[in-house]
Amino acid sequence: MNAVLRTDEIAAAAPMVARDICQEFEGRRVLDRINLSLPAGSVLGLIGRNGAGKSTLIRIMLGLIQPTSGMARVFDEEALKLSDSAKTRLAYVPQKPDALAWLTAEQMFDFLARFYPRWDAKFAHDTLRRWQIDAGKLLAKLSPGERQRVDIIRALASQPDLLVLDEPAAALDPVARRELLREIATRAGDAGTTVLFSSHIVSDLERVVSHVALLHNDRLLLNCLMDTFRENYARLWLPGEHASLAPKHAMSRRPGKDGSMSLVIERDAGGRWPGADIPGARIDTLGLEDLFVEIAE
Amino acid sequence: MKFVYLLGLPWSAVSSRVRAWLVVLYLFFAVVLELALIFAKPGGSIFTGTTTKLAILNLSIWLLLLPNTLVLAHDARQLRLPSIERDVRHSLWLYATLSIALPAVLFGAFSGHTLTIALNLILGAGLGMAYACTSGYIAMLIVFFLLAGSNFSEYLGLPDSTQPGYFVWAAPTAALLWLLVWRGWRNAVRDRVAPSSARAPIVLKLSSNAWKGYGSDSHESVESRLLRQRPDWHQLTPNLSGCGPTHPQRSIRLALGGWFMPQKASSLLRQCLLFLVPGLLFVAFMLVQFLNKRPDENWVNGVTYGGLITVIWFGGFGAAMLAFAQLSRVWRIWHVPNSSLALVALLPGLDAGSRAKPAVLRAVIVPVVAIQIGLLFVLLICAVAVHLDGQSEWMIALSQVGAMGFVIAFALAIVGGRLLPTWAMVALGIFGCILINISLFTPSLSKPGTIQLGPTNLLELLLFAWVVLALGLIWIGMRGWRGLQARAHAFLPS
Repeated sequence: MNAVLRTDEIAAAAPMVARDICQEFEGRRVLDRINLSLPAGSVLGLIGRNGAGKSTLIRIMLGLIQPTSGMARVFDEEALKLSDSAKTRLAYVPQKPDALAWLTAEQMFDFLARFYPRWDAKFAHDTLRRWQIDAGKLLAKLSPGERQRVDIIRALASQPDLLVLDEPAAALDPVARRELLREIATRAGDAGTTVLFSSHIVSDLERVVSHVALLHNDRLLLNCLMDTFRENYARLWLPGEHASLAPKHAMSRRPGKDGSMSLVIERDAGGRWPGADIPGARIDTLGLEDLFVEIAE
Repeated sequence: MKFVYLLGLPWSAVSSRVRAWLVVLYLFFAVVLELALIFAKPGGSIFTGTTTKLAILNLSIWLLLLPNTLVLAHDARQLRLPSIERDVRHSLWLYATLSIALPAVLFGAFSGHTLTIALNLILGAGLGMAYACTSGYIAMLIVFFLLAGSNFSEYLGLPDSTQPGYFVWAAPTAALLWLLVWRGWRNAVRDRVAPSSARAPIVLKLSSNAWKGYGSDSHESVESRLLRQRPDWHQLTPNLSGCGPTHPQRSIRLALGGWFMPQKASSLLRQCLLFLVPGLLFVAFMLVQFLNKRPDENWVNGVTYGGLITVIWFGGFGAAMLAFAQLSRVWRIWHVPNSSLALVALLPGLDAGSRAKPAVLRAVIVPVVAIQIGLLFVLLICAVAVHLDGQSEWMIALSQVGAMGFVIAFALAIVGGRLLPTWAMVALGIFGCILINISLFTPSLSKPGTIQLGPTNLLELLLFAWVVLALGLIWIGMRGWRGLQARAHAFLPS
């Protein structure tokens, strides 16, 4: 189901770029020199614990917040000064989709269709029906899951080249989540839509993303292709008597109660696992969720 | 020990801040009441004064303090803690004994009117409790009947507590109030009504923090909650015609929602009626009061004068309320995290940089100021019709222009991201509100034909205060304007 990245798309300019983004709120740093770019046609999964700054980073990259320092660009334009043509190619689903709550889904789509030249009214209408959402009901009166689905339809109906989803699956049931992931994979694979998808439901991301980025303690700890991640990162476990021999460079290190040591390591330039030759060492392949837990815990 | 615990239980049902406010309020009540009784009835008996004080104190306790135990009982039921729910009931019985039974017996022993005193106290307690423990609609009805009772008592011929026949209406009224309390309490505790629903008791609604930006459910904005609470007939019906990239101002108004979004004519009419009906009832009460106070006045003159004065009060107050409603809405959109701003910011066709800035200002300011200008003309026509003097007319005009100034200055400050600290905004708001009210009510409270603004120094003081306020608003507005110009686009949160 993962999106396939075509080489010609990799060569194209990145639709979304963050350069040295720093953000402070009331003197507290929440983002520290973040550099991130989305290759065209990629599906980037942004993971991190609650409060890690994922939503803030996304909002900065979209020009919805002015960063303390650094710059974000969308379609090669400054994010804070996006032109109308850039906006027509962009769709964003926020974490709390509470906009236009005083309209019905039908009215909202009618209103927004006037601004998006590529608006797919048939898709919006059919998907509303397929997902059994009452188009004539006030958005405020829909359940959180229905509301989130309406917002996802809204974003997809504008046929964007860049789709930004901030925790879109949080209020969705498993069926709706699976359908959303299928839609994202289809859009990325067939239409070449670039997707930024933040979530802490890591199993969802693993199904669909081509790239992964991990935000932890204000910093971007990892930013790579999903395949590269699978090939190049692993967990090294060392028994207590050899824990002192653990390699110095590791993404995370967690001592066990019995004196053992668990580390997240990256292959060296020669393609070897550092520390793999230590007596009693064990190398485990890492899933995204394992990595997330190893680093965040 | 149990006695002290039960006595303290209602106090533990409120936060320490509310507790402190209640203590201050009760002390204030005590002082005001004491002064009022001294000045109002210098020759009144100690007995009459004391029982009146008791009845009012009773009302305040059963209105402000004891209804909070409903929240405690509701939470106790939800958390499956039956002992706390039982304690709440015992606590209420204790307070009923101390605030109703005991005073009735004590004062009854001296006066021989035990039942009358008891009924008075039961009525006061029931009134307070029924207001807080029933839905907003029933509470409004209670207030309406209370106002009607006090204004039309002479026409209705309701005997007071010193007259025979008092029991005939007071006892069923008290029974009805306590029946409403019992029903509201039972439904709330058994969770038959959601705390956020329109049918929920007022005290339960207040405890759910609906007045804050976000409630207990972090995924739900206050906007959504309010919209969900409203019945369908009370919802606004938007008018989408004309919205689109060619009409940015109209589109932004629709995206910001609220009273000032483009609405269908039927929706506008419905909203106007919702304001006019209570307004007309108020006008009727004012007229009755006016005629009660001046029975020798020509009826037609009285009606005309009273009506016009009421329009001045209502119109003036309405303009200030409009300013407050719009500013609090704009503040909520630009200040509390929500997705409305994000949606508009990324909407193509609005050119958020250059074209959108004036469009946003127009969308936020123009609809309110236009209504305020309309009201200003109506008010001035009324002022001329009741022969207010020139100074008074100027004062009324100043109050309206002041309200407009608030809208413009604060809207610029919010949209421009140059808000003052909250304490400064609140202080300025209170200062402005006092000034507007003094300017509005002082002229119209004077006798017809002899309108005076009081001593000359009051007028000078008022003018000085207005100049200070105007300078403050100009400074805030200019600061906001510069902030807006410096911003990359108009939809950055403040």
